[in-house]
Amino acid sequence: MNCAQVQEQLELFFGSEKLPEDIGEHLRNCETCRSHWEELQRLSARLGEDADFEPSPSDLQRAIAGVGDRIKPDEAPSITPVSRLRQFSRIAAVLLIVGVAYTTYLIGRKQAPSTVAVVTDTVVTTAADSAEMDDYFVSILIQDFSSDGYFEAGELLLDDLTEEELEYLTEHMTVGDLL
Amino acid sequence: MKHLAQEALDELVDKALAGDRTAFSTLVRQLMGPIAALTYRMTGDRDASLDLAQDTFVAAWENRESFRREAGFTSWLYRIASNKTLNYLKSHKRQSPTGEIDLAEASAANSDPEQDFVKKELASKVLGFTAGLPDQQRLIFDLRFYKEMSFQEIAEMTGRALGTVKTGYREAIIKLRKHALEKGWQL
Repeated sequence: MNCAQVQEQLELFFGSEKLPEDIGEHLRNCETCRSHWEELQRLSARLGEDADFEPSPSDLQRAIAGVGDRIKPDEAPSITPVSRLRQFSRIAAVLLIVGVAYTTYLIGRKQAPSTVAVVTDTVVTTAADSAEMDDYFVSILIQDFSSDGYFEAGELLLDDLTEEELEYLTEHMTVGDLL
Repeated sequence: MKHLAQEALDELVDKALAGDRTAFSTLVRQLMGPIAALTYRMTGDRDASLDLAQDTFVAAWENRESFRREAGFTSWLYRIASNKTLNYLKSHKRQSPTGEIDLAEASAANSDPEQDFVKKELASKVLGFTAGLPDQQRLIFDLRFYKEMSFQEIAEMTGRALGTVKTGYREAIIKLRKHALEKGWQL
């Protein structure tokens, strides 16, 4: 390749770190083309200062929220048969935790299960990490009227919980449920 | 913001394409930054770029059934964003007789081409530097240089011939180099 052909190729490799072997060989033996490439690399470095450019977090949040507002109306529910199955599995897991924990509690007290306990609280919180905003911690608190004490029944991490799933869960595990 | 591994991204895309809004919302949070960066570099206008980025995701959601998996989901978004931005720039030019700034013309005819960049509300020095490229060249330059797409990917994404894309990139580099020398950048 002559110098004109090499320099034409160099412009196509602008921004790249590696050059093909034949071009590299030419640069090793041609000061003019080597100088041209070094100049392009310096220009690339200056322009690369904006490589990580992103709008401000507040602007991004505004745009993200806007998308959410615009895709909500008149859309079909997002729960598919598969996710509905997962939803029931999760709720079953919550109920299992409550049952096992309460039974263990009664055995520990060596009492017949004649006392009445109710669900007094269901706490649903989102995970702190903003990258996992769809993760929810669900904890259930039980009150035992025979001892007037409270008992932490269990805690479960539910990831990717949809609004519909959350609504279903809270409807089926509400304060006042008798156990 | 943490970036998702490809496998996790693919899973979210599968769910979103099936109509899962939660999965789609996660994709929006992950990809809004790069898409908005592209639209901002192309328009130089903060509000317009955010609107275009938002329009991109809304269009992707509404047309999710037309997504073909041969191209990656991110490339598909870039394609939507690019088309929307080019259309915006076309209509913007119709409203504004001054139109885009051609570097060569600006240098020759205007004693203070920086003033034109200011008019385009470009916040960044580098953004202002590339703003003078014609729209198509600026898009090719952005996708190649900042998004690190291959020429072939850009050709497929923009529906242009591979040779046209390469020529466009090369011409963009020549103009940018010339402009840098005129502006007194130490190269």
